[in-house]
Amino acid sequence: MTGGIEMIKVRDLYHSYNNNEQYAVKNVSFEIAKGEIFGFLGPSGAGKSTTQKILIGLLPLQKGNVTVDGADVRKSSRELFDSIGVSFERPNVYKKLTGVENLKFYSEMFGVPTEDPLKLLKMVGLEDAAHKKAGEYSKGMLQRLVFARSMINNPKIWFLDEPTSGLDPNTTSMIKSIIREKQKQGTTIFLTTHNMHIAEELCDRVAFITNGEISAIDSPRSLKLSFGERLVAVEYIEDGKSKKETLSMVDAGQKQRLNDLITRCKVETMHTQEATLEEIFIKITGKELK
Amino acid sequence: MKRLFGLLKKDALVAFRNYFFLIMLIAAFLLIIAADFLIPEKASMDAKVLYTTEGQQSDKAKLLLGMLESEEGAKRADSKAQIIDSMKKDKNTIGIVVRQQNGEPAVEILLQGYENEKSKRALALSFGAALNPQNVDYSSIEDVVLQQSTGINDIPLNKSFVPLMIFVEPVMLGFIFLATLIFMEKEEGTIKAYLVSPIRIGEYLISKVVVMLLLALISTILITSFTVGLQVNWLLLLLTVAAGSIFGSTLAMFIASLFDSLSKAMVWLIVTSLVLTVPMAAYFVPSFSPRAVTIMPTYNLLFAIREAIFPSGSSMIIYQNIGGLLAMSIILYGASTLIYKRSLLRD
Repeated sequence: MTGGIEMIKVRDLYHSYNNNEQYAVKNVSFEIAKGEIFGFLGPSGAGKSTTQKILIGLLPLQKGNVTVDGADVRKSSRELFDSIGVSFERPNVYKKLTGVENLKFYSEMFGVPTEDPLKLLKMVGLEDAAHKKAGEYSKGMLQRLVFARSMINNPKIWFLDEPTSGLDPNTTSMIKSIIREKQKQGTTIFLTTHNMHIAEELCDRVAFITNGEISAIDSPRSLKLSFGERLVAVEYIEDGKSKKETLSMVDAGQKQRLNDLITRCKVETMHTQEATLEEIFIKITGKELK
Repeated sequence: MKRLFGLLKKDALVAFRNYFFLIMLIAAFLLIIAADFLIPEKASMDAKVLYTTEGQQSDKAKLLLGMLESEEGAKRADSKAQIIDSMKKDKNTIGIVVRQQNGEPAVEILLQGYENEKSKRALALSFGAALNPQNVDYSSIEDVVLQQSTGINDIPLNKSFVPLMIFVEPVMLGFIFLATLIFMEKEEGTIKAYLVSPIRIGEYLISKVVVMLLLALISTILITSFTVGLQVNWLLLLLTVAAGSIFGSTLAMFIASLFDSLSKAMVWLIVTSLVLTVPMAAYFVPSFSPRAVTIMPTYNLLFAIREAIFPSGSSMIIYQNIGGLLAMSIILYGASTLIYKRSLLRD
């Protein structure tokens, strides 16, 4: 953890949909500090959504302890939701209402000062479609509308479920910059995704979850340092021919081979290579992200 | 209150954009047209009687003929053949042929064939009594009239349909509208978004009941004003309709809480609405009142609406109806809130 005030604390969390020993989430523990972006990474059906639903009160807490903004979710009042924002993966808006109406009516549910709907729509590039019915929006526009709605109450804790899923690169970049900006303002962000690139770029720490269990929690950099093999890709000319080799920076024999190449051959390019977070995930969990 | 008001505005707009208000207005308009212009003010349900004589008639027979002549709706025909011909053309006609047989008057009754045994016996008895009045002891027959001026029988036929219209449109349409609204939101998933805001599920549901109530009251005011006029007990009428609408809405809500899609709930919604409308049969045929029908909440509701529009002095039925429906609505509302919460959390 990065230190500071704990905004979310989960201890020994278990959940079974059938109320038996078949747990969708088992023995899950983690903490998230104020202002931290915490990535919850795993393939579909790993237990990401179940954990998030328990944190936001859409699933009952069966076993374990969960506190959100200092409040035990078992005993928390509805007013806790004044400080929470949730962006769902599946767009769930009123199709017969316009974008601005969807945000306006939603803003009236909160007991705290809320953002101007038009300002939020502008932030996500929907200002021109603000007065169009949501039923006329494309999937990407609906995704952005849901994302904008989740910011309406200026949440202290922001739950984002696959916020860039199905978005084009430009929109993805816009969403990422909004997330970073919110972090700067002190918002704590719980990011559920199976997109490792997004997680790598945005998250201070990530948790890998498969089969309902967390197998690693750390910053992307520490995970790479701990589990990734540092490599060097070398392109060189030998006996008049262009050749390419990838050598380990850890293995003594391969380090010697690199020295040989540098002294004997004409090295054209040389790049250090880091393992990607996805490769680390596969290495740790033995599963691919799908 | 701010939250509830926000929900109300949202639900009213969603209902408006889904043409609920328009459908309600069109239906009210059609019902008003039907009551004012299509249904006649009077329609006789009594059978027409055609009678004729064959041969010479005795004094006794003349007595019977005199009685028939004075009967409203009875007409003399030239022959039995003419009666049969007329009966074939009008299925609501019966025939009587009076003739002499062995020096005594005899009556032949011509029926359509669908009359029941009771009716046949009653006819035979009445002719017997007319021919032999000395055999009937009228002194032992006493008429007791409980309410001299109920006015129920004076209601024009077209206006007597108005309570039925109010029952069908504001109350039953609310039942269908509310179920549609809830399933639409279930399919859109919007309730999940609202569940992660400070609102309570009870507030979320009650706002829909209020919107349906609003629709019901507008519809009732329109139908009543343009059919029977403004001279009704508005307070009792609107309270009765409000109780009926709340009951219809909470029942629809309860059914909707048990299913996750409209297609799965459809059979139950149709069966329930059919069952709820069975008391409509008892409205025009009061003798059709088996216990299974009279215990239904809509039975009392129907008669309570009539009592509010055409007062007969039995206002107790209105208060009993309002109390009963509201008590059931509270139970249905509580149950559906609980089930709704659980079913949502299961998804």
